[in-house]
Amino acid sequence: MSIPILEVMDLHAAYGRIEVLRGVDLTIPRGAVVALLGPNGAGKSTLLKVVSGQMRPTSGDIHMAGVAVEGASTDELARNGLCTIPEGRSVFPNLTVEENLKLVSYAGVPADKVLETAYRYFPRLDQRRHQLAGTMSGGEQQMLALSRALASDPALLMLDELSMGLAPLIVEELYDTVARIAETGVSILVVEQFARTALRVSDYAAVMTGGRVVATGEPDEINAKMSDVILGGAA
Amino acid sequence: MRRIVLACVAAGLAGTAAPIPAANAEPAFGGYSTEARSTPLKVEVYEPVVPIPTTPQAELDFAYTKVEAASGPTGAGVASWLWPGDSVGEGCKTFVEQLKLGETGLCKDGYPVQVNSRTPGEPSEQRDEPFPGALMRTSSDAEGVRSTVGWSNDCDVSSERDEGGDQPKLPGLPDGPPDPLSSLGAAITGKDRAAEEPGSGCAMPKELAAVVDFGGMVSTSRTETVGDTVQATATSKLSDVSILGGVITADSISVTSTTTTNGRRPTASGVSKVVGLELAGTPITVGRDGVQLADQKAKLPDLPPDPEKALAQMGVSLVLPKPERSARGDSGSAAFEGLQIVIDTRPLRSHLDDIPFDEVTRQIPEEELRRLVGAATQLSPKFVITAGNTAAEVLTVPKMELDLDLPAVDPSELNGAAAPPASGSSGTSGGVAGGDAGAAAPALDGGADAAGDAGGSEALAVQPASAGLPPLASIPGALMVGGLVMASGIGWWLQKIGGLVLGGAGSCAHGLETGVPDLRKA
Repeated sequence: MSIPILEVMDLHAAYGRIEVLRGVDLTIPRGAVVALLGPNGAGKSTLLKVVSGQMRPTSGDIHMAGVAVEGASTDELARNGLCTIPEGRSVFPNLTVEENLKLVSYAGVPADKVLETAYRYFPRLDQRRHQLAGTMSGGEQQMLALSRALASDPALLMLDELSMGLAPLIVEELYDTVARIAETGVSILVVEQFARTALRVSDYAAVMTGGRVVATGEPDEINAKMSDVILGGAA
Repeated sequence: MRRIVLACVAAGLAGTAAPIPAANAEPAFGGYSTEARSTPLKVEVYEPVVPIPTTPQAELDFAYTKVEAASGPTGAGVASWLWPGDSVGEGCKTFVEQLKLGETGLCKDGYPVQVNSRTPGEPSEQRDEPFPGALMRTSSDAEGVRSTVGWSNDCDVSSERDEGGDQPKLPGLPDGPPDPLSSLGAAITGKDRAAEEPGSGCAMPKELAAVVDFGGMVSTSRTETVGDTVQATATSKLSDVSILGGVITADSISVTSTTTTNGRRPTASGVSKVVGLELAGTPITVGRDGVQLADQKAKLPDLPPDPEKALAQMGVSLVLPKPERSARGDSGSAAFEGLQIVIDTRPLRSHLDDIPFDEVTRQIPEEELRRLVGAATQLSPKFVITAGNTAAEVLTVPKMELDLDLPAVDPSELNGAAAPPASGSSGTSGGVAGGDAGAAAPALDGGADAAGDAGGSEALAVQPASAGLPPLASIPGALMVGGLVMASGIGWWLQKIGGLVLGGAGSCAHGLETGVPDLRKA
């Protein structure tokens, strides 16, 4: 068995005196898509922040490719292949699509390659290359955010609430793209509050509630185990 | 006495008019700054109760002169027959505004009773005779700055008045009778003395003369560069001095401070002479042992036999200020003063304590007025009168020696002809260091003509041998290339050391050396 690309062991984290992560254990095999599910307030987004270096854990271990990386800075992790798309997409609204994409070239990737990759995955962006990102729909902005992530040639992609605020058809389209990305060998951690679509493209799934991972398994297995109450009635 | 006074005034003025020899010698210093100031009679009033944020609370400098000069040359001179101290004189406008007298227009263009000169700039010379017997003059040029004030208290008019032509107007003074002293007296007493007593405008106001009076005075301050020397001189001369209504008198007081320097040896000197000092008509001396009777057998009329005790009863003390001299390194300073009379009114004030002032002031209905009168009864000022006050200072900085090893130009190499004999006009050898170079350099003015037309033009085309890069095949060229290689090696080594020391702060494309694995490859 190969070394997992991410392994979180007994991870604790807190906002001041409020402990949000209470001993999280999670493993993401290399090249797999893992869906991290759970109700609002379960600690899913906090886990992404800790893993991506935006927040310090109070205790626990984080290993990437078998190497402990606690304390590593966000930019250091990003430079080495970890890419996070935060909740809310975070595109530059006053820049055009093309300008948003070209910004990635400052990380060392040629601008031509950035644009080619983005337009290959999302032809709609090619049609809107001169449109200001802030004037596009939420789905298109999410496509742009995904494109920027892909342009950095990630090894582990973490998506936080990819479907938030989007129409079901757009969500389906986005997750189709996620599946295509996974086929290229990129490991993906999908954090979702509403599980159905995420489970469709996942290899594994984990359920978090109360700051802990309470269940892990195959998507079908998780889908059968988890009640509507735990999944917020969306499963 | 009038002759003495006029002689003093004339001597002072004549001194300022004397031409200054042109400076030919090369000074040993690179730059200088110098200052001299003089006031024959300085009256300082100390009264902390008075809410004036200066110490002393009031000051009057009679016949005040001050000059400043520095290499450049730059210079400025001030002369004022009545200077209220630097705090009021320099900040007159602010002072008047603080007193809410700005509407009067006084001090609109600075303190009005003064003449100024400066160089470079205008006016380079200014003079004024504000009232009969008083002259103020100052001039500044490249050779030096001179300021003089002469004041005869017997209203005699000097012949200098006719020489100047149109007198420049004093800044800030409105048109009308140019009699600031009368105006001052009128301001103090509320009476127009000049109107009441024709011809008395030149004299001291009676109220001030009760404290100190004099017959005449001359104040001169000057700085000048003569040859390789900078000199600053301040002179105060005072005659027929009368203090406390004639209790203390002196025939003359003369004080001079002088400092000079040539950049190597500064000197500071001075002299202070008090002639004919008397207490209550009895000759006295003032020295280290204090005040003593000149004739031990003499007696002070109606006073204790010890003159110092007699003065102390009146709250008066006489002091000969210790002269200050310093001549070290590049600078020299001298400050000499004549006679200092300290009048402390506290002993007199103690006698007034028996008077029930409080009962009297309590009867005043107006509160503001009652407060003012009450405060006035508590005043006990101390007067410090300094007769003869001079100071002079010079400061130089060493010349910067540029050790340029420029080759002397051999005339024989310029035109192939025999060098013309040095004609001694070494002034054309500017920029060539060393005395020998001056002698070896050709006299281009005349010598080139003697050798032919070609001499001059070729001489101008000669370039220094050190210009440009050396040939690569030469030893200097090899040294240069070797140096560049060595510098490159050191730079590379430093970069590696820096990387080790900073622990990977340098650029790293995939970060494998930083501890975080490259997830794309691991």
